Amino acid sequence: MSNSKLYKGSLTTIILKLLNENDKMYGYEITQRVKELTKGELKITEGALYPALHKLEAEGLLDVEVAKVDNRLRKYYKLTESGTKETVNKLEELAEYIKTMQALVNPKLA
Amino acid sequence: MKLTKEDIQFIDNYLDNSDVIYADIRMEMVDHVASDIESRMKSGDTRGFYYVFKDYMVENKAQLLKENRQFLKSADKKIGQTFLKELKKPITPLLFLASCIGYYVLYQNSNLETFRACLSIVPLIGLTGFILTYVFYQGVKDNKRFSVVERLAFPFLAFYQLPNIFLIRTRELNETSDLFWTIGGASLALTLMLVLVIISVKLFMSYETRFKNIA
Repeated sequence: MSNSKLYKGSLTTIILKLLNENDKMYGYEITQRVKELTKGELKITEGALYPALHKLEAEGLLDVEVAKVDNRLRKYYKLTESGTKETVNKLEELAEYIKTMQALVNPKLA
Repeated sequence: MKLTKEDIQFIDNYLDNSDVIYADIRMEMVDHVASDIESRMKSGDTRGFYYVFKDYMVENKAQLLKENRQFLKSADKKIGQTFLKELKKPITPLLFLASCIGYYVLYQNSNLETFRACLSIVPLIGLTGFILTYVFYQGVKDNKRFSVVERLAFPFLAFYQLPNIFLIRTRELNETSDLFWTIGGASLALTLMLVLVIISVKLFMSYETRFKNIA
């Protein structure tokens, strides 16, 4: 991931937000969607994305569905009920963080 | 441009030979690698699958193997969390209570040798669970190895040792406190093992459901 230190803490929120907007997504699709939305500024690597997805799955925030697509198996992720609630919390936390940083970095705009 | 079955098999074999031994981890990696290769070929790379694959691996192999290590941690975490979740359910204290009462009734109505023999059955439940974990592999998906299922063997082995701590006390069952600790300990071990068997069945079933109808 580019600018990894700054973005690392927000990876979970990014994943939850994307899954909240889409019914279900697979790993590669998430990396491409992020790349597209940020115009290539943010590139999520496999080494960062999948551990985050598996952690969210282990915590019960994501549910998994496996389907056969183009000669291979594909693992789709979707939000569970608690995952949807957590998305709201995470987005609120992120908004608060951005507001605080704005106040510190550029008080005129805050 | 879609990859052929042979191309997909090639990626799968390559990752298997790179120590990505669990089928559930490899499945996701294969899809990721294949999707990226297809995207590169669609964007105009006309050199053919093997050349694009080689380039991809030179750039990303380290990241893929990092993912493999992280996945195992997640698998252990999933087992731990499922176990704790099950422990919090009302069935756990009920199992413990039923076990305590059962052992006490047995103690009252049998001789010491029979009582000891019944206590020694407890570790066998852990061993049975351990064996079932491996039998499960024989019936599922061409003996492929699945991370969470295989790692369940570790808690079974750990719990297999647990009753020994309490069984040692049965050598001297002269005092009431000894009986209290023996029955309490054996019931605790039995309850923990039964809970482990319950979560194993649940995890096996979730794998069955997940991979059902997929060749």
